[in-house]
Amino acid sequence: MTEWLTYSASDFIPFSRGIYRRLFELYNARYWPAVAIGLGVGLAALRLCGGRGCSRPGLLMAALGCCWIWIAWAFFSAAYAELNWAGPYVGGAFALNGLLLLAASASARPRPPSTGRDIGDPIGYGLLVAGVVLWPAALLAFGRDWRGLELFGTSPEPTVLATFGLLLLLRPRGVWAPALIPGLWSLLAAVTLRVIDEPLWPVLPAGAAAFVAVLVSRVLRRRRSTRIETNS
Amino acid sequence: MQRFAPDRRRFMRLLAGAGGALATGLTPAATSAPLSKPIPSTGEPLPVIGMGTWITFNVGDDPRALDVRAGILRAFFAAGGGMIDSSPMYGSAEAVLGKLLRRLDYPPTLFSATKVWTRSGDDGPAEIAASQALWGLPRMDLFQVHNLLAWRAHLETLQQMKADGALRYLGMTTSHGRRHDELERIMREQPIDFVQLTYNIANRDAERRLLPLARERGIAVIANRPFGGGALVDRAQRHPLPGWAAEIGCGNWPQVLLKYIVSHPAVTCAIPATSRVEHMQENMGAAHEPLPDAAMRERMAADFARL
Repeated sequence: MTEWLTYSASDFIPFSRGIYRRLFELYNARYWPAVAIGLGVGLAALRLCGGRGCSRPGLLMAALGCCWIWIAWAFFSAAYAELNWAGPYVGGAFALNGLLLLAASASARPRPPSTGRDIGDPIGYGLLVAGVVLWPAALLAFGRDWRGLELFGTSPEPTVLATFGLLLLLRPRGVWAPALIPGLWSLLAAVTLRVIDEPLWPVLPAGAAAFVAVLVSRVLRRRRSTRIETNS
Repeated sequence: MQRFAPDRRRFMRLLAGAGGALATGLTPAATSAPLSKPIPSTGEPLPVIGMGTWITFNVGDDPRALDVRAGILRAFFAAGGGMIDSSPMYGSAEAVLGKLLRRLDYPPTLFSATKVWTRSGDDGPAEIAASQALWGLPRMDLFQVHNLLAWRAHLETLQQMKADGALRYLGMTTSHGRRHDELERIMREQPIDFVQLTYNIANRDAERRLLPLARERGIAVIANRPFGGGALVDRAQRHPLPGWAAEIGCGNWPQVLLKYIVSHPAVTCAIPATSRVEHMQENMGAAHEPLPDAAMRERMAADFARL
């Protein structure tokens, strides 16, 4: 058992940063119509959630589920699988989460008027902006070729980041279920990006932590208001 | 594209190594050919510098990266390189090698080595067949059990393949100094041709038991991680080359690190990996005389430890 302690994360990452970046260039070139549609979905989500609460919440959640299923199939099970034997397994997990999001789309709802001030809404919108706009912008700033940008809807990291945001904004029933796989992937992706020296490696765990903090605060607030109602 | 038939390749390789092993185990096959050492179980000469493929050849279908790797292979073969080592664990590396070997007119010095890496002994034959198909060679030279994973079952499979003539050599691998006790038991009890283990100027654990045992049992040794994953080169290159580097024919630090390894009498070859043609040329420069003697090796290790 102690043998496992002798392994480091780099023992499990079989590709270099250069090849990882080229992977996105080739992937974007091959599937550019899907990349454009995915980005369009992201921009639409920004617009639909820009006011007080999101309009068309069910449609947004369903579109998000479709993005996850696309990434499972086209990215992990095909492109990424060429570089990493674990690709199809991760693809399976992403497909499952896509189905969970599709199931959750039935119960997605805009911010209820009774919730009052909720820090989760601005944080959720911030995470959505981070996934759709800031992630690719930061990649550009760190020297990534524009052809190899990772974009919402077709690349995993920005989609996961925006998913945390949309789950906070759309509040589906059983919100934890479609958040578990994004949470796990945040950790795995951070380790991978750290090993290959990609500077954005802390962003996903930070997004996951913000998501968990908001959910915990919402639960505590609900309990507090239930106690007040009971006492009165 | 003309390729050598297996028998002709074998004949050419044996011819290239004719002359017999010297007392040091070194065989200068020709004036410009790299140094080689005999594989103990057959006496077949193997160039002392081979090539690893972890990370560096996992490039998928990227045409630009494939061209660079083709250049690396050309440089390797042009310098008389022999062993190329891979594994199903290395993503697309085997597929890339197969694709490029089909593109290149590879020479008789090619010594193909890969691994079987699956937890189930029952899955071994299918994985072995898949690797063979990816390499696209008439017959693999060496299959090794990767990191001793399910080694009993896989060893049985490989022994049968060898008996049937479908495989020339078989072996076991470890890395990072892991599971040396178990490897030692296998080396004592099982009829294997090769072991692959981590051995470099900063990781000398194998010198205590495994390397002497390999000599005693007539097992060839492949040294992996010769540069410690690149960290040893990074550490060394912050310092000027020592004066003794010229005495052992080294013009750069990678050659110093490689000559330290292959000058150990029990080590058959080292398998540095690179993604740059110029680094391959540097590495292959280590496959020429002179090599350090025992006293120089001690001095090299002591000086390196002070860096």
